[in-house]
Amino acid sequence: MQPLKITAVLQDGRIAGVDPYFPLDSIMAAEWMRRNHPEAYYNASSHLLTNDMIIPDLPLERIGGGEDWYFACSFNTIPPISEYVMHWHKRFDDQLEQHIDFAGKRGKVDIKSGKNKAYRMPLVVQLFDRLEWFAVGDLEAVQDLVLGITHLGKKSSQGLGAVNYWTVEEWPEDWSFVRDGKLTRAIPIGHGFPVGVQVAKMALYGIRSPYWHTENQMVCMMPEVLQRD
Amino acid sequence: MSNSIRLDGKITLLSPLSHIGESSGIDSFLSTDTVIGMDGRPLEVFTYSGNAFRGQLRDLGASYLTEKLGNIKYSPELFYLLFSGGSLGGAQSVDIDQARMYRRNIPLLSVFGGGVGNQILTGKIKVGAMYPLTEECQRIIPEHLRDENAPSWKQWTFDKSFTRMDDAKNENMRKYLTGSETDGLAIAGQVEADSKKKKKEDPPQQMRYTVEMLAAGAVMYQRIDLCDLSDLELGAFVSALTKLSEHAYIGGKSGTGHGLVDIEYTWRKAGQKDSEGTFLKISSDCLWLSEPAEEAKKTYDQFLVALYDRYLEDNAPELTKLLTGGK
Repeated sequence: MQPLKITAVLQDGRIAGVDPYFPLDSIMAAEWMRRNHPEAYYNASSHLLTNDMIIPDLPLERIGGGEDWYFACSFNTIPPISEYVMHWHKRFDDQLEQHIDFAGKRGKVDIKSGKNKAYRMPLVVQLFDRLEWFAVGDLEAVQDLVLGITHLGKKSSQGLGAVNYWTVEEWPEDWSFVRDGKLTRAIPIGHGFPVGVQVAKMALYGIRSPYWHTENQMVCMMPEVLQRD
Repeated sequence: MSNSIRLDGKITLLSPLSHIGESSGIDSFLSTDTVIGMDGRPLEVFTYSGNAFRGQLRDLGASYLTEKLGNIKYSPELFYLLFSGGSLGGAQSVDIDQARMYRRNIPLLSVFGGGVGNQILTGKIKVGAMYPLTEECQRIIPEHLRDENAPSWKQWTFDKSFTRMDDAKNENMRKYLTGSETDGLAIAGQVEADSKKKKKEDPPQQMRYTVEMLAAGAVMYQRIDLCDLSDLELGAFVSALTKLSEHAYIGGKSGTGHGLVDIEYTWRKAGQKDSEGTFLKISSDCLWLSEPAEEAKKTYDQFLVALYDRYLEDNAPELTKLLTGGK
């Protein structure tokens, strides 16, 4: 295990998501699941993962023990260039209605409400030229794992978050949780302030994947909101 | 063939493309998006939505499937799932067996994904936007397509005006209008009353409107990632493009010949830089398939024939229930 810097250079820069953190350990966990548990990845929704949690065996160092351990991997440390709202649309294909069998009943489809409702959904898109993370792990294994990740963030099915290429390199310092006296990831408050950190905002946040899962969320010291100079 | 591949598409417009983003009165403008340029700054550029093309491919794939199944009619729920991706909701709990059953019987659904009950079937395809090979997109497109002298995308657009005629005002056509003076069946007095009522209620039919378009000859790049596809699923994807080749139009106003395209996809294994050659080509409405694409489609066609036979013989109750909604 050694300190690493991991960079994802994006294709067009667009990533859908409301915060700029994009924890790499979570992204790698999804890729690990795809490779090692494809049945669960493709056939079970997140509900199943909750009921029968699979802990990914990532090539990253683990910090802490008990319930509040986390991987030695920072959040994204590059601030977004800009942010905007795009819309995606979904509609009932009424031009193809000849394929519907209404079973002799009155064929009425409500596209204003209910399950067939037409959508114009807003989506927060952040623009980055690249994302950078710092971690402590096995360089070759991390390289192998990230090479399988083609997209980041939400709505990858529509091409958002496409990665052009990855680089993984040795790094002289461990910046997986602190860099120049500033936090680079969420750290459980019970772990105390890392050396050199004087102040941090508190928030209820996940510490390992799945980050949305309440069992993985606790009061944490948070990294500062990323802003461009 | 690796089960995870990337397609690099080159799309050439043979007629102007309409893909509306915003409208202002009678003027409609091309859809634009913000991307990162060569200097790292955000730029606005025309993009053809990946979601739009994905939706078109889903429709075409579902139409292909439906034809092969003897133009079967579906329950409204299954129709919505196949053609629009379904919707989430209802009390159904997570059911892995059901998810497997859907994937096994309908490879197309496995490729494009969908919502069944409160369960999401993850798709296996990521359809990127189409980017014009212009100055603004040099960072986005592959190296072999880059050109430092490429023009701005704005130089590839133009405004095209259309006229919608109100034939009721055409003297040569009026004779076909019920209640016209030449209509012998018109009831006296009714014509005038109808005419007054019409003036109050009907919006004007005749109009002139303008649509911003991308010029014919424009070339775009598109990236599609296919992840963990079986041969059957790859065949389902190829079937959608096969159907597209019958009527190779994208975007709006195809009824007036807009959006006709030539498409060529080259392919490479996931994580590799070098191309394995052409995967599929649609040119002048003709389809050319590479050997792996041809093989995958053949496998899929054989699967659909077997599926149809099983359905006809009614020896697959789960399939019958699936296709007919339990009738």
